Amino acid sequence: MEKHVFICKDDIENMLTAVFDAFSYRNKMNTDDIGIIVSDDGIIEREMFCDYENVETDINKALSTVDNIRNRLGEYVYDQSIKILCHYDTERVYTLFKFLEICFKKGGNAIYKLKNPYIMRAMELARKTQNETHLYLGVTRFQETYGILCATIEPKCNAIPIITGHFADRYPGENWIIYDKTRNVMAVHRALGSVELIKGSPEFLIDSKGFEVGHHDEYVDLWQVFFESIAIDERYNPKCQNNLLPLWMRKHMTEFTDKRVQQ
Amino acid sequence: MNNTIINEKLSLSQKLEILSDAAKYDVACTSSGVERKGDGKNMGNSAACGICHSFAADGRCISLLKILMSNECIYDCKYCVNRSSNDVVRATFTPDEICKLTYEFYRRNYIEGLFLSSGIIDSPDNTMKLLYETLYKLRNVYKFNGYIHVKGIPGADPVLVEMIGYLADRMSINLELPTGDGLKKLAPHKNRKNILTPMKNIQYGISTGRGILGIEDKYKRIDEVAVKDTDIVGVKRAGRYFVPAGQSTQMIIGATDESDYHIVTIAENLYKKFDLKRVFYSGYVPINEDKDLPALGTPVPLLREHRLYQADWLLRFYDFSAGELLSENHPNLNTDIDPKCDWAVNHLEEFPMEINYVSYQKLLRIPGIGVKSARRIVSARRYGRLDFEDLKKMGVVLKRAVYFITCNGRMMYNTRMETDYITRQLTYSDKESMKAGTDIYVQMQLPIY
Repeated sequence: MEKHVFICKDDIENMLTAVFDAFSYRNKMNTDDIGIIVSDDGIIEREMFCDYENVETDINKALSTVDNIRNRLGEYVYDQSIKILCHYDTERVYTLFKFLEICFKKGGNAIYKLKNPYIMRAMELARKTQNETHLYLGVTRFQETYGILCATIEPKCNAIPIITGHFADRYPGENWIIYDKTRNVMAVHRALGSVELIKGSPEFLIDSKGFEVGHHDEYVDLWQVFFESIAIDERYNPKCQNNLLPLWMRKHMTEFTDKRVQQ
Repeated sequence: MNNTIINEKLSLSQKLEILSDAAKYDVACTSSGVERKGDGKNMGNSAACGICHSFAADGRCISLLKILMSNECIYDCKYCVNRSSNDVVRATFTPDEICKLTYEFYRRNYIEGLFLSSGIIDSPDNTMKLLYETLYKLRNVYKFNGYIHVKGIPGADPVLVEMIGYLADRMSINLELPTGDGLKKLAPHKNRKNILTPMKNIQYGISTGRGILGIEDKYKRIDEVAVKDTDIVGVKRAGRYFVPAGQSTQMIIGATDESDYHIVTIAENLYKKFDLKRVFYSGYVPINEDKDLPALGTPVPLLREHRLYQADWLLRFYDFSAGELLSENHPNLNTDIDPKCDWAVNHLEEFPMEINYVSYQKLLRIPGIGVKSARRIVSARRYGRLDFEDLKKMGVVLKRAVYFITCNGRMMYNTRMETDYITRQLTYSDKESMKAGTDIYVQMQLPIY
């Protein structure tokens, strides 16, 4: 029997469909020889004795997976599953599939069986996503342009699904956009409205050189002033600062990128 | 007065520079303790775990807009950069300026909220009134629903303390110096009664509120539970709770000659009697020249501060008592190894502990095992016996723990259960002092023979 490998895209609905497909294939063929790989462009290293199948997004299948997880395993496991899918490891959907396989059999308490390598790996992925997205709650910087607050982030994990809720709760009365540069996706929130995920970049705000046009935001300078004056020179410690705030996260933070306008 | 003339000529940017520079020695900066969802219309919410927005060049977290309302002060505390006898540029924010800054910074997600302190303008009561005016405007006119931490002024009227307590999330009053004598020497205008009375008032307000609503009036420590806004927290007035995130305080380390034993005992009392949420320790930074103070150029006692924070964590989360860590005969914390390891090597009769068997409280005592690892161990061992490999994956620092544990009856390496031997092993392999990020010279054990 050949190993059946599903190829899915870096898209949550597509990945959930893949999980559904993997389970139905497993139940139909009664086999464990299944693999799932995440690849946006379909280019993967093909192995011998495997047959490959592209996964087409089917919203009903995705919703059915979500319902199954939520109802049978509880809200916490569902939360962890989404975090696993938001990671960037190419094997994550397969890890989730094996993780769910064990959980459906043994119940929600299976997450404590950390001796099992799949459970351990799944919890590790969820934890990594959680840690990174938690930092992004603080590190995302909005800039006001034409009355709209616009933020750019370049996370390793897929942060948008996880942080959007927090910002929607915090700024209900504002029009804001969070743009994920790595995945070219933005979350757009209308004042007192809901959030939409749109593919593309907020180009109408950014000119070709990458600067944001519009009136100069005086609060950017004030923040710079505050940021520089708050440090105690006698305790200067760039190593500690780098440990807590890695350099790759600072790309879109105004206090590390903007030069102070001469007063 | 000369000061007022200079004040009017300062721009907002200049005021911000002066008044944030003046506030930076107040090390309290967490935005944690309250879980509050937004109200659907106005800006602001609060996360119980706190959110770090940035990290300053000295490695400290920046979470709040930490400013003084004014650096004018009628007192002359010797250690303070803003003391009345120092010749510094004085500035004062108007309440509107503070509100606007907080609001706009919060909008851009630079901060979690406001940390407001002040020098004493005219009198403690007058200063508290100005603080109240600012907070009132921020909450009710600007409709700000984020985190506010306000510093209480020692000696203020209890009514003002109460009024402000309903607008702030956390309120703190600085103890400044650990003992009454130290205070008398370095801050003669302040006295213990003026500091402890408002602390007692706040504590009374918090516990009364909780008592009325039938919940335990002391904070839980071992299973630290975040206070949720939806859970009953305290007395609600006009839609707000009284100081929901609790009280904290700060002590200066190294300005006077109290031992670590004094400081840790005081901290323990503060946690037990005043039910404080946190005690902060601030290493003394010499900025003023004075015969009663350490000389200018004395290095900041960073390692000592780090050890005190480690001891503080042991008191709060690991169920240690001050008497277990230190005593009159052993008054200072070991600089080579952390307090938990120090306790462990001096109590080798408790070890080695069998991981698959001992209680959660005992697991917490093992060096290398923290609260999270202990929880994971307790959950996972119900489903199967754990081995050293499993422990490593769960986040246990085996480098330290190997000398103190057995898995299924066996230790990982043969260990001589002797205090000196294990201390040497821990000091050699323990790169902790490097992790503290200080410029401390790491002592390496050189073989003599």
